Amino acid sequence: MSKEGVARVAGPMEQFVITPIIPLHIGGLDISFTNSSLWMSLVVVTVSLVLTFSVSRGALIPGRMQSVAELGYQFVANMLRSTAGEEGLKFFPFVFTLFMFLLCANMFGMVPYSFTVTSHIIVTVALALLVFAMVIGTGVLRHGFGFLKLFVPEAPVVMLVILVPIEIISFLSRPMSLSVRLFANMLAGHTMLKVFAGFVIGLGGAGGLLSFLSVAPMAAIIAVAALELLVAFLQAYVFSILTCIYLSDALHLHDHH
Amino acid sequence: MVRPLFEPNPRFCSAERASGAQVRYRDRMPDHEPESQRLDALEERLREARRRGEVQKPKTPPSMLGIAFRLTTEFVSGVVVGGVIGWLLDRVFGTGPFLLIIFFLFGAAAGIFNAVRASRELNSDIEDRRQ
Repeated sequence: MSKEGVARVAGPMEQFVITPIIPLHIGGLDISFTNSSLWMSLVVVTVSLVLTFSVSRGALIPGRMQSVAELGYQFVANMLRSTAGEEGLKFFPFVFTLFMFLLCANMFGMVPYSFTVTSHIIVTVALALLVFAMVIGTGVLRHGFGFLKLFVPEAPVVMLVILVPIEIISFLSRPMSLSVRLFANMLAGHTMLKVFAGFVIGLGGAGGLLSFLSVAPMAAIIAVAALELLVAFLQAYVFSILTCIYLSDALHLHDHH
Repeated sequence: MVRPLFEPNPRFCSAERASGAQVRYRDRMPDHEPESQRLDALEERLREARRRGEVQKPKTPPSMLGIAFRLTTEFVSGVVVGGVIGWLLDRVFGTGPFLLIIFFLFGAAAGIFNAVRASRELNSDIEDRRQ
């Protein structure tokens, strides 16, 4: 195959390029409606429609779609109850929305030619900061200044000089680890898929015996795609369960230590 | 779960009976029992099944990769946040590299703290599943 033929294969990072669909510039700010915005809107619309229609009948014996909706509800409710207790159920709408959005966004990312919203750190950081703000807001509203006790573990006063800064840094690092984990998982997985796909085309076009070797990366793609489906679910789950744990910290302060 | 062709798996069947498959089947037959009574019976059977541990809560096993990733991000983010705080404070107070060094160490300690906490959670998760 000629050099141009190889060059036409999309690079592994091209799937993450953001392209404006409806350019919009207001006051020097670029707020264009991009492919990322499009897929985010699609996710929100899909989740809303599926959940609304599947439970609108409210049948006693659920059909397929209603079962899916009820399963999701049960899953998130159990998660909240086991981490934050009955009190945590107040945050059910928040956590459920977060979980459904992430799950759907990650799964949509697995569809060929789609755009993975969560593979951009700006999206995950925004979500993590939202969680962070929620945790601080809950803690301050509930405990007032007592919320600061979260940073003071039970220890001799001499040790507190070291422990308090450590606790504060540990608290501040939460939104970072939360957002980086989700973003890095999605980025790495999707890049890996594209790299293996590049191998298939490269080997297939090489001709002769090498063409037969392209079966190997093809098999790898199938395995990685299966793994990515698991990761897509798992990362949505991890993000929301950590949200639950942080909310529980804000609610109960030191009870779990 | 693979359903055996001839010999029904007793565990599978009893779980299904408990979780409402029987009710669906009974639905097709003429039934004069009032709805609420049937619901109560279903609740009773469900409770029974839960007690026997046949209807289990959905739980996802953590994958090795997931655990490794969780712990590394916990650690690295502690170090990075500590370093950034030290660097910013140095810029504000103009105290050379000292605060950066101190907060970098604090950050490393916080990172280890985070990682230990995360692994403790994972441990208790696994123990929950064993029981």
